[in-house]
Amino acid sequence: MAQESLAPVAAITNLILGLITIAMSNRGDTKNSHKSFSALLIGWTFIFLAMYHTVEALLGQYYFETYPTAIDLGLFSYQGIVGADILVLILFGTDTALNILMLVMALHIPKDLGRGKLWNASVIATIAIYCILVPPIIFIGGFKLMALQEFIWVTVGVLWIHTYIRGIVLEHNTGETKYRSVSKASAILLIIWIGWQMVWWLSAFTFLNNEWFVSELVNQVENPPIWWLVSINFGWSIGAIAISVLFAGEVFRSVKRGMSVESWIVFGIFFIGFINWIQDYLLLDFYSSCIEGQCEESSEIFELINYLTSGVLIYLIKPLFLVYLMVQFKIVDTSSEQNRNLMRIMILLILLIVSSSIIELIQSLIPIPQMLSGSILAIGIVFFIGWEEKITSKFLSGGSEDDIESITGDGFEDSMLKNTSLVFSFVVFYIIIMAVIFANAGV
Amino acid sequence: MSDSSENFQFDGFKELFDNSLTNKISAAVTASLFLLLVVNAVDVMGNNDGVRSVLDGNNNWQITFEEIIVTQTDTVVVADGDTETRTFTIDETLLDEGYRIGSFRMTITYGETSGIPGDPVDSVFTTIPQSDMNAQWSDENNTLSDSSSDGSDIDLMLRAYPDYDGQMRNVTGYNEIQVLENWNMDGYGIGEIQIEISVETQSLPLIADNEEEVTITLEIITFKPVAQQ
Repeated sequence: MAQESLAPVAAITNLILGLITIAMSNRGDTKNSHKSFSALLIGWTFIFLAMYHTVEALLGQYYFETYPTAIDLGLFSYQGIVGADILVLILFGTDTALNILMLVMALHIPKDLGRGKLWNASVIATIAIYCILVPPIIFIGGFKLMALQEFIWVTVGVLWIHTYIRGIVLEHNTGETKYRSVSKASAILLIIWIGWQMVWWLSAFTFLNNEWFVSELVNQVENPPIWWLVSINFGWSIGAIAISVLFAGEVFRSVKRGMSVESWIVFGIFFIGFINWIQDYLLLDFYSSCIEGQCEESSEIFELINYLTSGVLIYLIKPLFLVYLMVQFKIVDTSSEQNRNLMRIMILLILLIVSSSIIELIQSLIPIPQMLSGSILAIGIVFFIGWEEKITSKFLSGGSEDDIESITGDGFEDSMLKNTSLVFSFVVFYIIIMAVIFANAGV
Repeated sequence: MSDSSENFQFDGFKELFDNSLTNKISAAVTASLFLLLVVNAVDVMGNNDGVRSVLDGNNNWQITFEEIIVTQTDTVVVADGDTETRTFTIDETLLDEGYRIGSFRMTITYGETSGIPGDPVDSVFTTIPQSDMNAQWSDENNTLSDSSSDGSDIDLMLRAYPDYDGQMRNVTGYNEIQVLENWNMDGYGIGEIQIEISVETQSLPLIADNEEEVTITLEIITFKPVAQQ
């Protein structure tokens, strides 16, 4: 059963969303500098995601298929093919930029943890220094160093988990709904960034992820360093703990106050953990086949389940939830007509792309005729056009006053916002240039 | 407010830790995370040790073959100028557990059967024609046709299993299954194998010698691979 890669779809979606978000970040009648900075962070997240998925799609088209865990854990080595090496190095560089973006986002959304001119300048300088220093260190020092960056995931995860727990506890103690907005934002951010790790929560608790990793360990020519082996579980562990806390929090809240959309999402991801665990359990022999038997090339079940769980979370849910976050918490000001139109484009775009991707997903599972799937998509488009006003209004009016107030902070001057965009623009070019230099040098 | 506080204000960070119950729950969660990380790290290091013991251990293997030869015989009387075909059916019931067919050896024997002193020996021509049987029909070591005109035995050989010659081999691999993979394929040598026999008699004048009795001995060489480090 062949599955179409979602990477090209994700690349286009993220690119358009990124450009629109950055354009909207500095506009609006009721401009809030902290929200402008948050919008910039989200906008550049879209751009780096677009860059990542574009390169991923090119690599798959011309050289070999890759998967995000291979990048995060540095499971590559130089191929000796300049084109492939350039693309892989760009992936490493982009992943590095996304890691530091995630950390900076955790320091600003939902709560602005630090304030002050020097603090804000330090944050922007840190982004620049990190993105300038870390990729060359990884290119020279060995790709396995990538795995150490998962420590950022742990830090960010702990921070957002704490914010989530605080929101749940204070909402219960005080009855004030503003705390729900904080816990909701934290939960969404956790799902956006480490949601694809959460789906392996039961396998993390039962060590089955480590059994899967045996299939990677057999490809290591030399005994890997201990620090790398320790780092491998950072992502899975923080994912497992995060979804467990979210699940417990949402169950508690559902009992006390009733269920919300966010509760259903958390329960859905929690449930996927069981499916992935069953899959892991069934494939135990496959994982250790190279050691205990004959190496098996690949498992169709593994590919399919990965495609439907982690794949969907990485490629489709990430941009969808980032848009949801922006709309729900009014990170971009939609009061002006100009921004409202851009937001309208954004919402319709994400709805259309997600619905067409879902149809594609269904088609890869059930061989329904393309005429039928095309008709279903056409019906969807007609529906979206006909109800465009209502759909966008519903989205734009979705956020409560508490949601809007929950993301707070200030202190960003216009020049600082411009510098942020300049830094990220420089990072994009720097990553590409570094990748070309290092790949050609064959370090 | 001093300049330094304008530059760095961490009110938001302080506010994050203003609730003791939250802090306690978060501390427990962080401790659980730390514990999970430690236990998983120990587990993955154990897995790595297991993998390294195989990868960095002795990966040299010696493969030897235990052989059992299954013999079938048939006798046919072939008239002068005629060609007779004999068919042997080979199926799995002939094989012991774990054995596969390596090759076929056919020995065709005949003598001068007229019994008349001085009667010259007849000529016998034999061929194993290619059939649907899964075997190495184009192997250069095969002898699929031969003849004799002095009464000596004719030896024919067909290799059934790829590369099988019964000789010991040195290979590398991580485990027995991997090194024996090439020697555990089924289906080779199963089916029908035929032999075509033609006779040209040589006789003394006035003596009728117009046929020859030919005995076919088919040896099915079966083997079982054994891997040792």
